[in-house]
Amino acid sequence: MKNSMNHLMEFNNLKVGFGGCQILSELNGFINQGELIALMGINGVGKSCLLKTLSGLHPLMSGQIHFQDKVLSDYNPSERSLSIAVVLTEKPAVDYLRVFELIALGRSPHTNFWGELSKLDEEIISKVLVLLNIVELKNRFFDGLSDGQKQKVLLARALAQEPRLLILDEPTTYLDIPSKVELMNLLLKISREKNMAVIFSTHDLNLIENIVDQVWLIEKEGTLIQQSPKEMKSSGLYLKNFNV
Amino acid sequence: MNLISFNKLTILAVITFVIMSVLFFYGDVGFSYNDPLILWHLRFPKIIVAFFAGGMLASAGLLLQVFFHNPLAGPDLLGINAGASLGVALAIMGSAFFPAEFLVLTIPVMAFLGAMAIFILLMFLVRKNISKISLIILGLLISSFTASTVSVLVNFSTSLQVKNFLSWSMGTFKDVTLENLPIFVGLSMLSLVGLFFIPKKLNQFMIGENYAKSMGMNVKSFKLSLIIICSLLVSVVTAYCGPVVFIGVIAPHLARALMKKSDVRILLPTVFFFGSFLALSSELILVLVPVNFLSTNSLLGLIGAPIIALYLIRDQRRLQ
Repeated sequence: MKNSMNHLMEFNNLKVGFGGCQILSELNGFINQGELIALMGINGVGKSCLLKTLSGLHPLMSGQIHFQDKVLSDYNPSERSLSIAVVLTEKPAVDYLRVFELIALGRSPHTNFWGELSKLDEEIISKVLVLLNIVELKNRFFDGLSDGQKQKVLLARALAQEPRLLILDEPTTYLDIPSKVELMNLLLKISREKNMAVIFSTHDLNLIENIVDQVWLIEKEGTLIQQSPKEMKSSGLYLKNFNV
Repeated sequence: MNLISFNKLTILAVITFVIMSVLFFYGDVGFSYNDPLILWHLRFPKIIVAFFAGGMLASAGLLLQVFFHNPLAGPDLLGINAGASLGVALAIMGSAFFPAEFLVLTIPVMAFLGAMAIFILLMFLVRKNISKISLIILGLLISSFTASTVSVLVNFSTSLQVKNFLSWSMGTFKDVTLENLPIFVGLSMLSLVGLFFIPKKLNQFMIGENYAKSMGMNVKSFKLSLIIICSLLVSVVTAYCGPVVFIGVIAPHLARALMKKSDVRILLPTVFFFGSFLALSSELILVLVPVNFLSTNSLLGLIGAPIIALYLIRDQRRLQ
């Protein structure tokens, strides 16, 4: 089915809540190409669930998600992996896993059955390393990195996948302030330079208000509100939902 | 694979082959006795069986450790060995249902079904966030449950059947005759072929199930193929050699420590040779120290249990 408004992704009447998640229903929203979006809401309101559903990791309960020219559930996993990449809250805990190898896994949807990297794959990885300024981490063990460095490496892995849509679950949690700001600026740069749609969940309106194009707020009652950050700040909805 | 990794693997393989040839020319009766009958009928099958059995158990151990994200996982500690044992016990002691003439066939088949049953049971019982220790305790509980079932079976069996089962359950590489060797090697090759199709998927799965999904993996079919490959590896060994312990859990640690890599494409061959090395070394020790109170399994237990205990004590924090 053709996506009516030419949004990259659009969902109508969506109900999520698979696998012990908070159930959210009647969700409507859209994502445009190259847009940077922050998803907000108090803990446990179902942000992760919504993101996992939009990324195709969780099945949806009802409603429809249109992505590019198809319904998301019509994508098989390997097709989907060419267009959507994720950065999750769970961190890989693997002995002797080197940064380069982890980022190279991002190319795995594009490589042969043995996972060999082509010249092109290696070029793409090098560019990502430069873009995120982590060339010097290349040969380090992932386990030995700081939280901020780990987050950048996981972002690099997702970028190496070359998606149209990048979904990040709480990327700034556990980071110190400079790392938070750095990560936000990187996400902005990625969405602008690569024309990639980026959506991430966060708690921090001050951090994002001058950066993102849209804010999605899941209210305590479970409704999803889509506004510009300015509207969000002036409408008082943010204060109401966070009891600040 | 880069040159350094390749060189390390080559050295490991060479050492393994040296031990194999020593075991061929030096046995219980010393260098002087080179009767072809002893060389080919006694020593040769034992060496080949130890080579494959060690390698296969070790490979299964690596698969399980990646699959459960748990450095303590292994065919014995998870109870998959025990499942295969239960299958074999049913085959040997349930001869009313399984005529003794077909034991050559029923033992491997029942071992496979037993191993697979336990693996599937584990998949159902294990919730995503199970702690590493809980998983192992679950495995031990499964082992003690199957052991109890076996002791119930003993009550309904003849003394010959019980004796057959007990001698099988000691764990040894010496019981495969030259005539049966081609069947064993054939089955081993069959179960090893599966390993060529999963390294890339294991690398993806290693960093987390959801990441693997997002990189295009069909997780259901991956899990199914892993269950089949692992059960095949473990059951072929267990059917012919008995429940051999600790090789599966130790070899992956040695391989990671040697290679300093996590890439399964490099670890898998290394793990295989470490498994062979461990199995052959235990045979070599048995030959060099010819006392009749040591067996393969008791030796592996004597070395293996303290290594795992050390790991537990040293890495308590990471096992939470």
